[in-house]
Amino acid sequence: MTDYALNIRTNHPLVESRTVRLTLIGAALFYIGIMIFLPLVIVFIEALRQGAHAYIDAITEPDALAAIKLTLLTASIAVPLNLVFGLAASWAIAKHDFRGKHLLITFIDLPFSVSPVISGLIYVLLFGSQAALGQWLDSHNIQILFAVPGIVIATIFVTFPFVAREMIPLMQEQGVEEEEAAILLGATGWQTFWRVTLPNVKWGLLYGVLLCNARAMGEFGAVSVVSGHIRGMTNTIPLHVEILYNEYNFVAAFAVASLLTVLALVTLLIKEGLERRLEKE
Amino acid sequence: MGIRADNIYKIFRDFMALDGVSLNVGTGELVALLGPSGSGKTTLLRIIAGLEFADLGEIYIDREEASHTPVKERRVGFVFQHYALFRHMTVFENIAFGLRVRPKESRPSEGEIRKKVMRLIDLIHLSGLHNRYPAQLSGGQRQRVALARTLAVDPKVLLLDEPFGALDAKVRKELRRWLRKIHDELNITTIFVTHDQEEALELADRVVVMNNGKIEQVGSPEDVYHNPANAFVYDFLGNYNAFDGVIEENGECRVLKNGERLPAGRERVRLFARPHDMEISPQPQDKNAIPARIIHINPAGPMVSIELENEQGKLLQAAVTKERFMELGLEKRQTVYLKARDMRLFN
Repeated sequence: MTDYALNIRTNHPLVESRTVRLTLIGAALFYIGIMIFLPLVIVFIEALRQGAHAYIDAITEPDALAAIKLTLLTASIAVPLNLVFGLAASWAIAKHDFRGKHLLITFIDLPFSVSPVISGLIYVLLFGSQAALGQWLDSHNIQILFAVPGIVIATIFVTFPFVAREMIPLMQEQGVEEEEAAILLGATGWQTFWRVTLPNVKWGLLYGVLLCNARAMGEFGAVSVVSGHIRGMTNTIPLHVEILYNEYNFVAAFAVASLLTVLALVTLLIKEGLERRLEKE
Repeated sequence: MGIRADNIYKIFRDFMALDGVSLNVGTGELVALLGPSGSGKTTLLRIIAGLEFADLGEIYIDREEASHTPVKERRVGFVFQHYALFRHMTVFENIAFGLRVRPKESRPSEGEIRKKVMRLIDLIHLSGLHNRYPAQLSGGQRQRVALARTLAVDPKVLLLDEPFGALDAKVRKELRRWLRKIHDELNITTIFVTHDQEEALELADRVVVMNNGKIEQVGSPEDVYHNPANAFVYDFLGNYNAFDGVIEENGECRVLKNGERLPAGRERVRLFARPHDMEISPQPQDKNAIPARIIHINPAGPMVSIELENEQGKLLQAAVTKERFMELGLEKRQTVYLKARDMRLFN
């Protein structure tokens, strides 16, 4: 019986010979090991090189704590805003027809195609003291650049597409018939959205929020340009890591970096779970 | 509560979906919109429901002008081809939806909702399945839930868009009979869209045959089948054989023989005959009989259907009873003679 099954398997037209299979699998494993697994392990090895004590010191010193706080604050503003925007945009795009729809989709994708450094630079040019808007803000004592608002704005820009990009294909695939059915049964637009549209995409929405959050916490380029790198004030976790590294404080740099790595691993884990739910949706 | 459509026009970009359609459906009537895809039947149904808007023309529901009534106030029950059930809700919640979304002052109590939903679940023969999700039901069951969901809000009229199109043949027949029964019990004005002529003829009180955004014929099933208004309706309602023919001096129609020239001063016409109106005989019946060779015989079904080829290689179809088939002892590749008992001519 098992022999028979094995026979079928190896005779399958899409199965290569043993040598080819082993070579290909080996090459893939080698590549993943060098490029992904090894760096991941090294982050933790370097972080713990001088023991747990040094590790804890590095992530609890005031500047590190300030960076962690700022990162959490930024994400807690940027992610909800992008959640609302992404949901509204994808609802408009997937469930309705209007002029300029394709233009809107292109704009939503813009942050993906622009280098983050350039996006940061755009805000420096917009809010800097040489620009009209910057001068007006200066005269009203509103600080955007080199302060928390600038960091939040840059983060929002960079993480703008995550929710919408996740939702648009899902909503388009689901079509509008259920919404039409709801309206025909007497539901208002608001009831239709909360009772039909949203429950149908909730797992996809969570997935988009998760990716958005991971990027918001890890963003370096755009934030680096607008932050001004003031220790304990405008440093996020990634910027703090860079400063520590440039000061040859490797243990502290890797210790703080390990926080982001853990975030990444947790994100991946939740993402796996969500993907399974999504398949059902 | 009748439905009236008055001179409806609808254009999608450069495509004329409805080209001046007028239709009158009486209270309690069951009407089929029958036509090929792209004939505008679904568009007409969606305009009546308020899901699309006519570029020109008016819709009256229950003698009231409804063109500007919002969908949610039209009280139109609509059933979709692919059910459109709320996939994250149970059967019970799907059916209860229309009651739950009512404003507080007109919303029934939880107990009343329960009673009504359970009664509807009984009506659709799904007792015991009220906690299932749509994905756990068969296609036929889903469509019955969709109908119950619509009936829960006591619609004035019922519109069904290819309601059985996604189901297999056996379930389709069963649901057809069941829909007829429900319609007769509730006596609710109903329009359904279909491209299946058998379904339309079997189920409807009146059939509306549509083509290219226009109504070709309106009539009882018997009427459209036996007295088709034109070649399109004739073609759409069944198989046929077409012949080149000529009108004789005495006014009679005759099929032109193979290679026969059109007599001078006469007009060439197209003559049509249904397969079951074709007479088959091993010997020529008369001088106008058409010789043909049998290329395929299908004895499965109430009639034996026979495919033949005439001398120019054109396909002809005939259908004879089993008894006649045995009597004639027909065989593949045999040459026989055909004569039409009944032929039609359309101008």
